[in-house]
Amino acid sequence: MDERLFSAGTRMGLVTLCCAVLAAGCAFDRHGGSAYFEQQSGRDAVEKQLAGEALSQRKYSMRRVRRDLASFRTTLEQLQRHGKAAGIERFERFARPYIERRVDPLVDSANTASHPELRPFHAELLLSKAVLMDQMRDRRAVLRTIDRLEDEFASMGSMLVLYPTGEAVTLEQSVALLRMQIGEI
Amino acid sequence: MQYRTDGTRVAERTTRRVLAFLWVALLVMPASALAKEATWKDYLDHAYVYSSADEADLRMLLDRTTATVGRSLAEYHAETFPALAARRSPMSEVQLRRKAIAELLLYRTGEQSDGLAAAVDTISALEDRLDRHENRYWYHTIHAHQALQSGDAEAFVDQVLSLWLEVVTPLEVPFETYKTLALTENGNAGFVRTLPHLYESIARLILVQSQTAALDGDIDSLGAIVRVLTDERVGADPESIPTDSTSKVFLDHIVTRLEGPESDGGSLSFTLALVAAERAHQTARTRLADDGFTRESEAAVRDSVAAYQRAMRNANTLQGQVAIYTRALRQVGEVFATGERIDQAVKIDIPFSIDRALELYSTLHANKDGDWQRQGYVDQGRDAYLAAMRGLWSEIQEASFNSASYYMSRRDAAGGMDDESIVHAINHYSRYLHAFEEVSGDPTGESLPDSAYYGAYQAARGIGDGVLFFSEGDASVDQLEEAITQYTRALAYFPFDRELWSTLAVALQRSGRESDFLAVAKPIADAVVRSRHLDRWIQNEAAWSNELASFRRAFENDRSLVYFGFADEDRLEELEMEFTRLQQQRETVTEAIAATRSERDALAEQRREAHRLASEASGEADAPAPPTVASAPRSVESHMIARLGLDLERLSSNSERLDARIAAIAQSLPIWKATLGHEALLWELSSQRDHPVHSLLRRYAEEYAPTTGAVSTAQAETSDASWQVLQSWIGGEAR
Repeated sequence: MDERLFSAGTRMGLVTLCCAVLAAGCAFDRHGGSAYFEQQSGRDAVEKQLAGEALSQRKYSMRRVRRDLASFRTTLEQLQRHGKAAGIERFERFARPYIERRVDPLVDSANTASHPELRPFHAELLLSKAVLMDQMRDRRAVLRTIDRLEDEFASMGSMLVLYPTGEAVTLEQSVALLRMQIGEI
Repeated sequence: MQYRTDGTRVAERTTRRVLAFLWVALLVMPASALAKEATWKDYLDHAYVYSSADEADLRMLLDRTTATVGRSLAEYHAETFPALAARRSPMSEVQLRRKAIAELLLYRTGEQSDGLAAAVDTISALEDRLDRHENRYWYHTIHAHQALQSGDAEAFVDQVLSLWLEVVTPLEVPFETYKTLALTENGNAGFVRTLPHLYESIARLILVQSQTAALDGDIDSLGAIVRVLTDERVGADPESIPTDSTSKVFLDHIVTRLEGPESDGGSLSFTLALVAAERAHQTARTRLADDGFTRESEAAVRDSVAAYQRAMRNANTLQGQVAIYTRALRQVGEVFATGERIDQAVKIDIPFSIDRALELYSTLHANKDGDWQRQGYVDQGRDAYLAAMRGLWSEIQEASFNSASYYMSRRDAAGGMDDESIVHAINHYSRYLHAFEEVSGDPTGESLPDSAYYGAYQAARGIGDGVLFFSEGDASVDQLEEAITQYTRALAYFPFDRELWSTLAVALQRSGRESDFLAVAKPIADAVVRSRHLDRWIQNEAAWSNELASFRRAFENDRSLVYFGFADEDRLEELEMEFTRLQQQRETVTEAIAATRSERDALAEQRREAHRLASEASGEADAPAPPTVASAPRSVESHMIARLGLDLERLSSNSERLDARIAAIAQSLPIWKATLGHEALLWELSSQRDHPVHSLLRRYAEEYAPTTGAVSTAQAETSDASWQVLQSWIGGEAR
């Protein structure tokens, strides 16, 4: 009887142990691989980091898009001075999707905000976008961009950037200029 | 007077280079692409290279391709696509695309007038395959041409913006990547590698084809595309298209104009229309210069005028209108100058009037210290505004004087001057002078170009001349008075016209007032003598200072001033002979005085001796003094001596007068002669707006001319009154 009891207790213990071991095994295999730790590949970080030709191409793209936005702003400003409502509407129908397709991918890329060489261009593109949005009387979009600038560049207020109207100012000053433009100051 | 704009030169040069490139590209491209015998399929697959060429160039290129391929594009189209359409299976994507491109090309070369409609139908069949960039490119390109054909500017703008957003924008990033990796030329980069050609085609679509189609609507939204095309896009890829063969120079020129002082607040529609009008103007100018008034040259002028009117319809600011009038008035002047040059009547009507130009000028003038930015010059600044104002004035001046000069040159059938023409001439001069006097009092001196002051002299002199020629030269007393007034006014602005001084004297003579010459002339001459600006000019040895100094010397002297009025420089030899004759006469008189004096002295001696001898013979010296008796009668010698004394008196008086005349002439004639032979100054001032002496005349006028200082109400009223008097007797039209 005692033997039976022991054997029954032993079996229960083994089952419990197996279950525990199996459970632990399942836990290690939770992310589809065999690693338990969160993946933070240093190799990937190095390989994703823009450098060389890719970096120079990205700079070129960001600079040119910034200049394109300046041209758009000039055109929109002139249309507004003439009071050409149809032309303004037509141009805005073009400019908004352009920003979504060409500008946002550049400023949404984590690479550009964190890369020391691309950071000023990133900020300038955001400023250019904000100024164009202001020209399009889209105050909410401007405020969103200001928030983003203040959030992403919180510790870099003294970074020198080129404001879309041509002046070289600090990022802090440029945000102040934007706020003045939308009448917040 | 040849005047070619930068835009005209740029466009012509670009066209030649583009044609040369396209032909080379067309010869080389399919062969290199396929390395086998070329067919129309290959040429159509690469049509993005050449489809935007000008119509004539495109036709020539397709003709050459026809020779290479062995059949024309129309034949290829007619033989290939109906057969494909007749098959049970629908045409493939590439076949549809080739068909649409072929139809577009046949439409553009004029071989198939309904080709565009067919191309639109054909490309519409690919609407479900617009995810492919090549399809989308041709889709929007064909629809843009459709918009141009129907004159729908809004649709054109939509198509071009879509082309940029849907085709160019997505291709730019991969193109940059491929270019970085040098895959655009040698790799299998597909449609991405065509991007430099797409830039060029879009540039030509906006800059050239919209104007060829005379698109008369608002395409200002495309200004953004034109600006970004200049930014390392058109002409930035010489491996694909040599920079010289692209539209880069023309594109840069357009953007410069767009931002420049002759824009219309940055309007692309306006700038393109104005540049196109300048090209038409250049053609008309060349025709007028080469052929005079022919059917072709008149048609060219009308084309140019129509082009300026199209630009005018696109002008929404004073800035734009001023830019147009500045050019259109030049054309007015050229037409009238041609009429005068070839002695033919001007029958071309140019609806850009000097009156309207003066209204524009007045508006500019009225706003120069106020809302000048709102007139379109906000980006260019006040200096550009003022420069435009002065530029417009210069053209008003030139057009006015060319027109007036033409009218003064007209002769009736009998060869006489026609009063009606003289009235037109006087009206042109008077309108100028009246406008000048309204604004010349501006103390800042920023309203008028320096040459306007010489213009005032020309206008006043022109009125005087017209008045004297009126009624076949039989001027009334009032008319003569008017001529004298105008000549005096002209000399006040420009006292260095010797001929005008003598014309003034003639007018005074004709009105019986020749004795007033000095009274009229002296104040003008004194102003020259006293002028501080002229003195500084001469001291600084500035342009023409020696000649101007000689005039000033002459004006210091009343006698030489009289020479200005009454001496005839064509008879200078006679004047000099007269001087010599007077000198000889003085010598003769001197000799006669000496001889007479000698004769008188001899007679007196004789008489004294006779008296002495008579006294001795009669012993009267020894006798006591007799009582006083009446003296004996006078002797013959006494009579002779008395007569000789009178002669001497007369001769001495003559001699004194001769001395005075000789001294006067000896002093004045060389001074007056020093002012001769400087007529080139007048010619230079008439033909060179930026002649340095213009600035002197301006400062001189500010010192002394009749309109110095701000124009007072009284002055304005006087000016109006004199205008009305003038109008009353010449019977001219009211302003």
